[in-house]
Amino acid sequence: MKLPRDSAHADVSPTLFFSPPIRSDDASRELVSTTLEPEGVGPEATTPSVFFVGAGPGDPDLLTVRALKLLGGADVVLYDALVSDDVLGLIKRGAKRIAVGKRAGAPCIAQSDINRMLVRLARPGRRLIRLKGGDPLIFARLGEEIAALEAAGVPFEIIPGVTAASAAAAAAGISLTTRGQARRVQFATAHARAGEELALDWRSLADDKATTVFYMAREAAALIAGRLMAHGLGARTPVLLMSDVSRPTQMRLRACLCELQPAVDRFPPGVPLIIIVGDATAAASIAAHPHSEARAAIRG
Amino acid sequence: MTGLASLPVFFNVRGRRVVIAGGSAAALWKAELVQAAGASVAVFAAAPCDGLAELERRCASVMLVRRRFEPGDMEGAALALADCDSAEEAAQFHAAARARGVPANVIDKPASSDFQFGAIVDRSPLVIAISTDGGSPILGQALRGRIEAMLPAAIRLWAGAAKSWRAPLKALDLAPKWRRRFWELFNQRALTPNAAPPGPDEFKSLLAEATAEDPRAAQGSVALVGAGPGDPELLTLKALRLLQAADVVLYDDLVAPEILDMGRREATKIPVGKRGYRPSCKQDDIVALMIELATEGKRVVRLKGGDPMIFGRASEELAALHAAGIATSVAPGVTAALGAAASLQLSLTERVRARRLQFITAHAHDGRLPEDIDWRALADPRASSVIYMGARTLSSLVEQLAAHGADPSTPALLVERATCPDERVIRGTLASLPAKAAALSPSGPCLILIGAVFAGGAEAEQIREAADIAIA
Repeated sequence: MKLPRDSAHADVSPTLFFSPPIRSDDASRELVSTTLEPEGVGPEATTPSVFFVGAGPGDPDLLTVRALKLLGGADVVLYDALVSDDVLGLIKRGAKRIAVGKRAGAPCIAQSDINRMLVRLARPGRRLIRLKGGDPLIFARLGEEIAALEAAGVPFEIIPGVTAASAAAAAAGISLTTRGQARRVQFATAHARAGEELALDWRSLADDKATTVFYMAREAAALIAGRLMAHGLGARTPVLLMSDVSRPTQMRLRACLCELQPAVDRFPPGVPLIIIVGDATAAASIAAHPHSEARAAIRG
Repeated sequence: MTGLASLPVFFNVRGRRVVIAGGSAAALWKAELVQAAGASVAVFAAAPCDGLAELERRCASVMLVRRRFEPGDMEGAALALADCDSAEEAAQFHAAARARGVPANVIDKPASSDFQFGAIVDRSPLVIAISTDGGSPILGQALRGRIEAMLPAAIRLWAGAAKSWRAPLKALDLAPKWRRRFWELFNQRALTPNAAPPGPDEFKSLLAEATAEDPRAAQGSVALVGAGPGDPELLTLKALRLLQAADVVLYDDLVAPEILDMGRREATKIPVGKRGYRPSCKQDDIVALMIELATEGKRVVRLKGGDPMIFGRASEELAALHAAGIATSVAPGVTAALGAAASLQLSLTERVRARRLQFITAHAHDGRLPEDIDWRALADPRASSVIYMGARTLSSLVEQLAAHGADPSTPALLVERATCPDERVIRGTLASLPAKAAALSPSGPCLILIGAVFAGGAEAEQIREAADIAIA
């Protein structure tokens, strides 16, 4: 059985004035590229020349106003594999785009090379955008890139974005925190370096009074379920899995903790997956959703 | 409205006489502009530039008179424009125009001008003009660039269609709500990022859609919308769009006025402020109000600081709205912790020092520190913790963490009004932060960030403190 497509992301489009820049051929784009003043960029050494920008989960509607403006005035953009084509389409035409994709399993540019590239490409007056999927402050290895820029004396600015967990919660209609049930929300990445054990504080992650979000958890799903149960989390704890959050290809599935691996196996290989564990994911609003049939299919 | 710098008007010069004194390139540009607006243009110049001669050849409505301008040339003109070399010449021209009751503009001489030309975005019949009252033409140009970038390519055609549909739509004598819906649907189609030009059956299809009974629309809806950490530019495009389509906006105390101003002007804006320790609407009353408004057919936006799904009490509101059969949607936002970390320029996670990130609220319904928190998880030295609404209970929080084994030298920061212009950061350690915070008594919304990754700030502070001591 195929998973149902989720079109919840496309449900609202009332009056729009602040439409993102158009992607089609338009003579005014050339004009724009010369007249669009970059945000706070000048020749002074203290104004940022590198902008770390959160691209959000994929739907260009979930970009921030600031991110949209910066993309529209970019000179060079270094972007990750997780940034959607729709968002890339908003980059100023004529800007140099460099894919520095890091996707599990695929050959990619080493982090140290990205750090060096940022330092080498940055210069006063050039709007260099480092575009990261979701939010740059969560599991994006921002610290290493910042350290390289600081060492080289390159000024930078960070523009936060909507992280995948927020977008997933919005699409599924579940609150990540609830009074009494989930006083704490925690985020972990379960993507270990090859041959490494996942060094996570499982006791903290196995709290039944918390909502726990795992990013990049696909490979480690069985291990996550096993460890959480071994540390006392109930086998029937509800879990929400979502792929391609906010994109037209978005899919979601509910399962319980002991069924996590078979649930993961139902997603097409290679799609980015987010796993949310905790009672908060069992909210009524999602149970009332037609997609809950997928859950019945798994349990049956 | 007060203090309007100048009165913006769109002046119809079609078929009317406009005189221009001067033969420079700047005069040529003005001649082209007024000619494009349909005026009958007379240019007076003893030595006109080549472009002016070329313009006269090309346009029947432009007449070039090869002599110096004389005041009498202004008779019967709708507007008089000039490019003058000196301030005296400009003043004379202006006085002559005044004497004849003709509004005048001398290029780059605001003191001798009755009106100014702004920066123009031309998608005729849609025309947008920007004035900075002579303050900064460069700013005007930059804004023009922004607006150009925002407008879909086909907007000119849609604006043209709107003009031609106005009369037929009026003739149909529709109910006001359908007429409004027609233009809302029109906006929706015209302003989508890749809008196609209006098709031959567009009017009919818009009319059909606008007048179709939509049970969901009739019933109204509620959207829970994240307003982001504070800076209006950190609003998502989706949130902005929902705000601009709302009939009613219910907003928290944490939402900046600048963000509310981005909403539809006609929308009713109701504060339902829920800030700790202040009298505010009860949660039940807010839910009841939302249900009442949506049942009346209103499009309600419930605007929440940060992200509605993180400490936004969204589950209670969604459950009640679903039970009442109200159509709901949620627009995620940038949660406050991300805004604060972005301002601090510190990543919340790191491979070694912060493999886990956690958020709690330190404000239970009775205003005290919640008791059922996993303190051991919070005291983990390999995690980053962000405490929402934690300023009041900070000392009890630190006591709990210490009791569960947290190192008192762990870096701890308090960020007040993250990402706002008056953002304030208090840097310290678990041991020093409560006293420092108490001394500075923050009054705005606060976040507390605890963890090894926040050391950069703490170390910098220690250096500053050492320097202060040295100076003293």
